[in-house]
Amino acid sequence: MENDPTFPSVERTLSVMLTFACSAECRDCGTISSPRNRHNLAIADVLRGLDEAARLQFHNVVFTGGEATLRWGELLIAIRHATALGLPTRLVTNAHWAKSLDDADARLGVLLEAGLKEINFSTGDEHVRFVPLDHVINAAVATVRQGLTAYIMVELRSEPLVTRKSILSHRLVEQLPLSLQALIKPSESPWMPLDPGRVASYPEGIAATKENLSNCLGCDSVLQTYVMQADGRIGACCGLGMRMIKELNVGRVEGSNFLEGAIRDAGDDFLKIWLRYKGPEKILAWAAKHDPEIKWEGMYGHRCQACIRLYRDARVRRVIARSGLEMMPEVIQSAWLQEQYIPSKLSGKAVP
Amino acid sequence: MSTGVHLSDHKRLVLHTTGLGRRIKELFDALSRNDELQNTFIESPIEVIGSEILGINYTKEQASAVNRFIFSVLANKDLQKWATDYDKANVGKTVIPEQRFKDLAQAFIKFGDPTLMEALLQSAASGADIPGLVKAALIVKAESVAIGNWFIYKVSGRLLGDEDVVLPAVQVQRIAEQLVARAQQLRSGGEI
Repeated sequence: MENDPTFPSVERTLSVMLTFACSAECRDCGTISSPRNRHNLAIADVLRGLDEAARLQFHNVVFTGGEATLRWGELLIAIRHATALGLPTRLVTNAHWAKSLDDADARLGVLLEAGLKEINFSTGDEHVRFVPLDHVINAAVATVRQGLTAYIMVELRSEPLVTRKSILSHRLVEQLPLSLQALIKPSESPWMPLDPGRVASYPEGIAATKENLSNCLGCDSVLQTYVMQADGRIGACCGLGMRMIKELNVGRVEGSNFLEGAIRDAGDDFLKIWLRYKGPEKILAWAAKHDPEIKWEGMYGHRCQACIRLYRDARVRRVIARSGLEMMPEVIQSAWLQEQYIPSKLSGKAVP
Repeated sequence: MSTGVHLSDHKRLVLHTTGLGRRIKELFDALSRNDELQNTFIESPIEVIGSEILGINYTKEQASAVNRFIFSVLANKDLQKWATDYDKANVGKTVIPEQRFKDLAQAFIKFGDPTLMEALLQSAASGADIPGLVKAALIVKAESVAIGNWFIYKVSGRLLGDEDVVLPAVQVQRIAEQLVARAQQLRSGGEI
């Protein structure tokens, strides 16, 4: 944001959960969505949030959930409103609506007419218990025929049935011209248990250990994405643990300027800054140096689960509360080096 | 599989400092305008953060312990020259990543304050404790960005196989951390 008085100065995303209701009921759903969850955001509140996001020069808007398309009319109103404000929009959906290619074409046409700029699909072994993979393929094919990229997030598990490869080798995908096949981009992401004490089975090398800790980056979602959740809370990250970690909720959709207040509140919490520049795995590793009883290696393939752990494990919490501020110089220096110093050196320009 | 993690969330875990975000932003703005402050922050962030953000004055001893390792590398002309020469010497050659890491690790030891490097590596390999802030400073800095100077980009960026891409800062940090981790492995294996 130009003249942004807050830290960090990043291109922010407003994520809107119109509803927690979903046509699927995946085990360990990170947003705890289900067909029985009836929390909905009022459309008037959504429009106010979009207005404020535009005023605060947010970078884009993501409609997610729950399954946002279950509130089809309100979704279209919100996309049109954001588009009119100059905010690019993205939809995250499980594609339950794409029962045929014709259905997919029709629905997608309406979304694009409303101004939608990007669409992401979610699938995997859990999702396909409720939404057949063919629906995702139909939607992805319709998307690339429109010249858009179809991003497909696939649950990564040990020995999964639905994989990046199974999507790319689907009959309908292989029938596409190569130029359109290239626009279908499946990406595998570890599926995580919500219980931080439960260890899922991942392919080798996925879970964080001392050996691969240097590969663990900061969390670029926290303090960048602000989420208007269907129950009226405002989250400070897009993470799957957001509904389980009260500290990641930094306000409510109430009154005026609720986004601005949420940004200010979140930015005053050093722990969130620490997460942003070091990531939850390194915080766990740091805590384990203070308290050797804290075990973390090989447990977390999904960083949101590691984040839930550090917020909910009594031992980790104790170490952070007692000694966390000792990391402030290091973390703030990292932030400066990442955001200003190194970019200026790489570009050969002086620090702005 | 379930482990014995004891969950507790009766109190909010926040490290809240009123105005922290605003003060960090102001510090960054000040850094962009003040070369002297920038140098101090590079050499001794704990001093700057202490006075500018927290309002705490650290002792000289505490401050000097922080960053010695890493910024001896950053400021080291010999190491920078080594990196430039290394690039030139290997133009058009295929240098396997293992060898590149090894060469760079050796260069760190040769040019980058060997006493501190040795202390770092010995500490990491043995798990032995170094009292107080010195250990924290060494480990923390070794894992941090500070090696992420331009020569890391020049030397290690090619490991990614794309010589034309200007790496974002976070990638530089990642590479820097990988380099240190690899140096630790090599040292513990007796290879350097």
